[in-house]
Amino acid sequence: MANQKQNGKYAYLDRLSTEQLQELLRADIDSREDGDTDVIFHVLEVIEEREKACPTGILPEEGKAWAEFQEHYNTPEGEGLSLYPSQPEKDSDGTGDIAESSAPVTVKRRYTRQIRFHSRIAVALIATCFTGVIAAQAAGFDILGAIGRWTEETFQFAYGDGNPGKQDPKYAGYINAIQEALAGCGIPKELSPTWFPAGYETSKPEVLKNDLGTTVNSLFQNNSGSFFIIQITQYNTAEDLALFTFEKDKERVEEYANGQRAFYILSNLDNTTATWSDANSLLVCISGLISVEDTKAIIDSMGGY
Amino acid sequence: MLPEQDRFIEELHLLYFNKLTIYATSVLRDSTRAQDVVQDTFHEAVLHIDRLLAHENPRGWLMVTLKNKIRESERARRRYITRFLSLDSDIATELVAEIEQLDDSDQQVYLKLEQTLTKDENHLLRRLIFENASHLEVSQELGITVWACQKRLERVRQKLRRVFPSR
Repeated sequence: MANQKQNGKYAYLDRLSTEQLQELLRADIDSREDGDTDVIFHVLEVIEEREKACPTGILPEEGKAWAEFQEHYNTPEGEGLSLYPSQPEKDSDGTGDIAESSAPVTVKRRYTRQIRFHSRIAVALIATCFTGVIAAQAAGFDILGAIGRWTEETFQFAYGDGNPGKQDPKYAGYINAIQEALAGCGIPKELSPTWFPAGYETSKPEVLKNDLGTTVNSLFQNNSGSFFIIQITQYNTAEDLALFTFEKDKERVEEYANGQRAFYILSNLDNTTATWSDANSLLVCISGLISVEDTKAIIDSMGGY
Repeated sequence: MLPEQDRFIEELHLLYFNKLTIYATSVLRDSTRAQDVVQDTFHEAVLHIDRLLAHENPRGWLMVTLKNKIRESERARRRYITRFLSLDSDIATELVAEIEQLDDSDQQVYLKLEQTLTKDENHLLRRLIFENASHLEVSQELGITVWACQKRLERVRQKLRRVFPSR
């Protein structure tokens, strides 16, 4: 069972809807390798609590399941038998599906698998930020209308302490991968940050295409489970971009300008989200469990090289 | 089982049955069948009680076992449907009782099934494979035990392997 420490560590999952949590479970089974058990059981605990509070009928009455187990399943007749075998069946002539490889999963593959799983969590979290009408409108921020159109000449920003020359060499590979992904989608590669907080790792950027446009997702995660995601989206039309509005909590919206690109930094519980748009077709979002200072350093590094 | 083994299984069942059912329901999208698979997972735990008692992570063991059962049962079901009906599994799931909507070759397959199997066996095959019912439901419909239902399904499979060639 999740202890108190783990409950704090995975508290961000509590903000997801039941449907989103179920989608995470389906993503877990779809993966050919086993996911993070602690996360899975926290998800299950959240759904169970909600189900007990508002039953939908998927769980039996208390005590009934155990009684049925003893009466129907845990009987001498079932000795050595399985209703649902765990291994592939073979035909009577001995042919059949070859069992999946049981080769041990290397640490790197397991980490990559976890990153993919957490990528879905991160995307779901960002989706929760992008709903509802932002109160910043009432505070005087016209999010889309206030952002100036950018040109290629504007992509020359200082990135302060985020000098890529001081970073872990592997970060150069991350930067190249993001830039290649952007270029492959026709999105200006200068939108890629060139500095990331120390201690984070990422796998290959994920490119998602749908009717609205194309998004390049890069999920970064460190060993303690903190993560952030960089989403760079090019919408097909300005109208598609305008579909997104933002939700904020009682914390203020901070405008952080770097050259001619103004980001709006929002806080939502313990999540920091920074967004920028050219009000035409491009949207950049940096979101996750990172500090505002690191978020600003990432912003400052965009277009570095 | 020894009394302490009984208590161990009961404790695990109390702690994790609901959670595992939620997992299985999310994946299978059917809570009745999900409970069937979860109950079978705990039955598997009984069969391997000595190993489970010594295991450092019984919760993890249960989850891995459940996932393997779900994956393999879905794979077997799709394989079964495509083999015996030569239909895409998505089409087969829509099939149920609308035999009149099948083309001639598939109607022939359906008729062959009805000639090869007894009425109860046809009922069992349709309910378990095509309608995704649980073993508990079907066993109660037929007035037999869950394990008798499982053995009859195995006999149905053997009959059909003889009648329908591998594809």
